[in-house]
Amino acid sequence: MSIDNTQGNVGFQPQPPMMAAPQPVQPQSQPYPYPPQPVPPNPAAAVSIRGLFKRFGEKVAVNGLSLDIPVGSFYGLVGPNGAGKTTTLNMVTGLLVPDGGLAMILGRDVWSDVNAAKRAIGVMPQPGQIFDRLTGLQLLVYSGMLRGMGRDESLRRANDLLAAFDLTQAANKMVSDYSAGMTKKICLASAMIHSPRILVLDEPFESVDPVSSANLKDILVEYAGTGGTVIISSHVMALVEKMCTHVAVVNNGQVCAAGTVDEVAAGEDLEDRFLQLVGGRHAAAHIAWLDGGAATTSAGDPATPGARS
Amino acid sequence: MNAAFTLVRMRWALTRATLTKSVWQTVAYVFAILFAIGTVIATASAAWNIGDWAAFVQFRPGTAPINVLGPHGIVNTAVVILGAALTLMVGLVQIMLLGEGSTMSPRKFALYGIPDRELQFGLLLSGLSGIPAITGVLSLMLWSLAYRAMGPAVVLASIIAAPLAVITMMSVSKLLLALATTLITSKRGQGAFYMVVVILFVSVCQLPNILVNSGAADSVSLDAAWGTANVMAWTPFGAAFQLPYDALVGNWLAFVARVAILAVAWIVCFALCVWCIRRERLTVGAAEKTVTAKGIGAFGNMPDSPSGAVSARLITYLKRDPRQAMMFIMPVFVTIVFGLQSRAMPGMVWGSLVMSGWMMAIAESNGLAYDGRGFTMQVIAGVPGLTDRIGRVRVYAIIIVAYLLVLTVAIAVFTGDWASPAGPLTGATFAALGIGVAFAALGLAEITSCTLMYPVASLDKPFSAPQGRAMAQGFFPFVYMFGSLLAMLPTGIVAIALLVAGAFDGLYWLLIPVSLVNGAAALAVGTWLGGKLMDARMLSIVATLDSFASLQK
Repeated sequence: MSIDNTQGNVGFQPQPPMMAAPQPVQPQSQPYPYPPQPVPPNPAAAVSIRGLFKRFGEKVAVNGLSLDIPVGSFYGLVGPNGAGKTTTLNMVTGLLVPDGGLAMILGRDVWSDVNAAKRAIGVMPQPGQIFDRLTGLQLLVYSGMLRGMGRDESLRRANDLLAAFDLTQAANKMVSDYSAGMTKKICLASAMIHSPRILVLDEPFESVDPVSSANLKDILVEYAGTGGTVIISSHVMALVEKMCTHVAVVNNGQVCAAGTVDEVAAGEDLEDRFLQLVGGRHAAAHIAWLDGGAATTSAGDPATPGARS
Repeated sequence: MNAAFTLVRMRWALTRATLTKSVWQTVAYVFAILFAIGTVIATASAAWNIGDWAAFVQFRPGTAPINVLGPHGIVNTAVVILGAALTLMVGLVQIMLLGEGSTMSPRKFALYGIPDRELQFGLLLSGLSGIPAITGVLSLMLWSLAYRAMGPAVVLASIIAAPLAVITMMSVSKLLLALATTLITSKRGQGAFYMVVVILFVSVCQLPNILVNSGAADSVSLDAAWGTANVMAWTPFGAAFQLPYDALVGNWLAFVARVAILAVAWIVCFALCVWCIRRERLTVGAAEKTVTAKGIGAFGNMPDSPSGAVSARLITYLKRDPRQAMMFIMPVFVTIVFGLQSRAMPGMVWGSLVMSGWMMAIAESNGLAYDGRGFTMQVIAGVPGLTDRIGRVRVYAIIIVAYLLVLTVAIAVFTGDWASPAGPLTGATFAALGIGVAFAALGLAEITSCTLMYPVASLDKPFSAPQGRAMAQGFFPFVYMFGSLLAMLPTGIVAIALLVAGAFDGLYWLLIPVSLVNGAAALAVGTWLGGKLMDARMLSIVATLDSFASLQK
């Protein structure tokens, strides 16, 4: 694991004494005795981010986030809603201009030639971001040809992917007629057709059935095994713990902890660790009237508890 | 009943909320109110003037006086026929332009367990409490000023008839919309229905022109017109407009009968709307017949390149998108309409080529909005703007040239001009002008579609109306219309020069190369500039398309 991932979240690195301890860093709870030094981006990493910053009006979505994602890793980006995961991924993949900071993909600055960076990676579109009036086969061929692949090669790979994702039967059906899970699978396939070195997937298993999900996971694990880098954002901690080699916990636009899954979990269950890091748990609210009907069945109309008569 | 009034309150609360959120919505709303006030004032002033007329007017000495204001007279006939047409048109406009308000759709209330009748009543009431309905009632009430010389009973009958007419219009339009959205569930069915409605609407709008220019109107007499009006007056469409005249002649039986016809129509419309809500609830989620297409279709025919992928995708969409398919139908329609009117001006039918060319890229002038969020796929793949523009222009240029040439041959055969000595040259000149204008318009469209975008109805719901569409939809197409004419200025200058020099008759064929070069140059510049603009605005375009998609929900 790269120590860069454990040096906080603003692109600064502590002095050497801290480097020796490969522990995930707590969110800047203790003052360092040494002034922080800027850490240069790591050109050997699949993705290297330094001081990434984005503000929407008054709201700071990403606040000086720094992270290195090693080549060949299966990297999970986890965090509560609104933590800045998707915003970060959008800035790294050239879909959102950062207000500050640096993002490098395979040693190249994303924003110096954004189209070249996009062609080097595979970003899974959201189900609403595809041309769903094409058939599944057409969508994959389109996705391949858009990236400069030849028609015949696109067609061959499209058929391979359809078979791998159990979509051969639906190859000639319009994607708008697909179920949610099938749509998710075709979206993923469209991101893989050009065999990118990095795959970026936002909630890839949401609404996918367990069987398809298991097949998808196999494909992704195999891909990572051949040297590809997979970056997923997810809320499902069990999935991240099971599939990912590395994980970064993002909260309030910053990295709370990053490293291998074992390092971040620090001997605990990853979900418990996550809750410790991001906080926000509180006792049950005990809303008096939310009583499952126990009070109203004795007092009034059981069909419409609380309704005015 | 409470739920119904809650819906009315909610309608206005939503309107207020929208106004506080968007400056453009507020501006559009102010314009709508000004337009409404203008309509009411214009109707009142027209009614006042008409009320000054004599009942019978003798236009020339020695001729029989003409019945103007009296029963079965010109005003009576016109009011009933126009009123019936208006009732029908309100329904068509509602389907075509306004759609089911995206917030007040019955589907949005499915979760709350409101009884169907109460829900439908609430939706009807909320429709009747809107500005269009209020404007309609006020205008028709003030129309009673036209009858002021006929006595208080007639004026009172006219005032009573006003809300009855508006309730009928609202009921009919709600029913048409409910039937359109409930019964036509397949995507292709909705697409076909959408096109039929648009053509019907344009035909009705063009009918007066066709009748006058084709000479058919010359043979229409007042008696024949009254015959039509009399039939209309016994239908729900025209009944309300005949009520004042029933009062005038004291035919109270007819008065009551017509009110009964209206009441029955409302009940039938209401019952059918309730049935639609129920049917939709019972059939929601039923498996729709899926559309399949063998092979890769257009992807097999287009160039093997990223721009070829863009072209193939666009062709596939144009075939499956009813909103853009109008582009393919309108030129034929325009040619037919011009052909019907060509008795007065024989050359007019050739002018349809220029008109068609002018209109053919109008959908493309907002093409990215029609693509919707699917465009994000191109952004994710890192497709340069120029590649996209070339891919799109290839498709439209092929369609434009092929379509206009086929139309040219069809017109030449239809008019018989192919056999005349000057005919082929005239045809070639108009075809070249049409293609030139279409190319220039297409070039401009490649620029405007990256900059002046406006929301369109969703492909899934062509009858829906995204909020905030009216303002931009009213203004932005004008940029395209005027801009494309401006782009053809060099051709216009050559034409004027030939006219001034008196050499037009002998040298008008010069317009063939001039317009083609002019159009091609405008297209090349537009494509290049559009590509540059797209590169610069790529992420803003995605953000705009995302915001349009949220309006369509």
